[in-house]
Amino acid sequence: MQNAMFDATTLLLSRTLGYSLRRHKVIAANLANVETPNYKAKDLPFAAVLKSAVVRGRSDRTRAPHFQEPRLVLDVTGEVRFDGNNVNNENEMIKLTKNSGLFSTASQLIKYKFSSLSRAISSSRGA
Amino acid sequence: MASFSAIDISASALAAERFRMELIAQNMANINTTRTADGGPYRRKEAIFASLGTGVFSRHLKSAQMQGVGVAGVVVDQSPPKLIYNPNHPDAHPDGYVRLPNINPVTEMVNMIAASRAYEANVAAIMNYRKMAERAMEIGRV
Repeated sequence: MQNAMFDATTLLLSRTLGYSLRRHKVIAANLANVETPNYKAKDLPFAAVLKSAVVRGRSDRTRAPHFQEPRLVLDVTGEVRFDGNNVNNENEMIKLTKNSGLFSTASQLIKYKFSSLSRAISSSRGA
Repeated sequence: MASFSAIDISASALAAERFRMELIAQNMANINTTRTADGGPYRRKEAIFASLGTGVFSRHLKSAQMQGVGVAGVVVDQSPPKLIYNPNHPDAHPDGYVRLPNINPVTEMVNMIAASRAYEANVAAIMNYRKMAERAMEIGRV
C-alpha cells in the first residue's frame, strides 16, 4: 500500500532539500576561500544527484532508502589565478542564488503536499 | 557530515577578511612611520590565508572537503623602503635620505576593496542560508 504521507515524492523532495543544504556548504566554502592561495573551487553537480535520487525514489517501497552521498568534484570552469586559486566570485554568487531557489521550490512543494493532506483530513471531519 | 556547518564556514571567512582589513588599516595608518620598536621604518604587513581542516585528523574524517578559512600568518613585506631626500629630518641617515615605509597607498586601497567585497560575498552566503532555514521552518506551518 502506498503511504500518502511518505511516498516517493516526499522522499525525493526531502532528498533535494538535503542536497541543496550540502551544496550550500560547498559554495560557502568556495566563497570563504576566495583569497586562499592554491585553493581549488569545488562543486556538487546537480544532474548526477537528481538522477540517482529519481532512480532510487522509484525503487523504494516502504523503507527509507540509503541516499548515496553526492560526490564532490573540482569546479574547473574558473580560470586559475597567479596564486593558484580558481574561485570565481560571480560564478559562486550565481550558484548560491540558484541553489537557494532550488531549496525554496522543494520546501514549497513539500509544504503544499502537507497542506493538501491536512485539508483532506479536516474536510472529512467537517462532513 | 562536515566538521564545519555552513554558517561556520562563512563566519570563518568574515573573521579572516576582517583581520586582513585591520592589517590594511594598520599599513595605511603607518604610511609615514619612520620609527618602530625593531628600528628603521615601518614595514608593510600582509595576511596569508589557509584553508582550515587540512589536518591529518579531518583528512581521515573525509570532511576536509568543506573548508573554512583562517589566517595562517602575517608576513612582512621585504621590499626596500622608499628613500626621500630630507637632511633636516631627525631620522635621516648620514647620506641625507629618510627611509619611509614600503607602502603603496594604491595597493592598499585595491586590497581593501577586495577584502570588502569578499566580506560582502560571505555575508550574502549567511543571509542565503538563513533564508533557506526559514523556508524549511515553513514546511511545518500548514
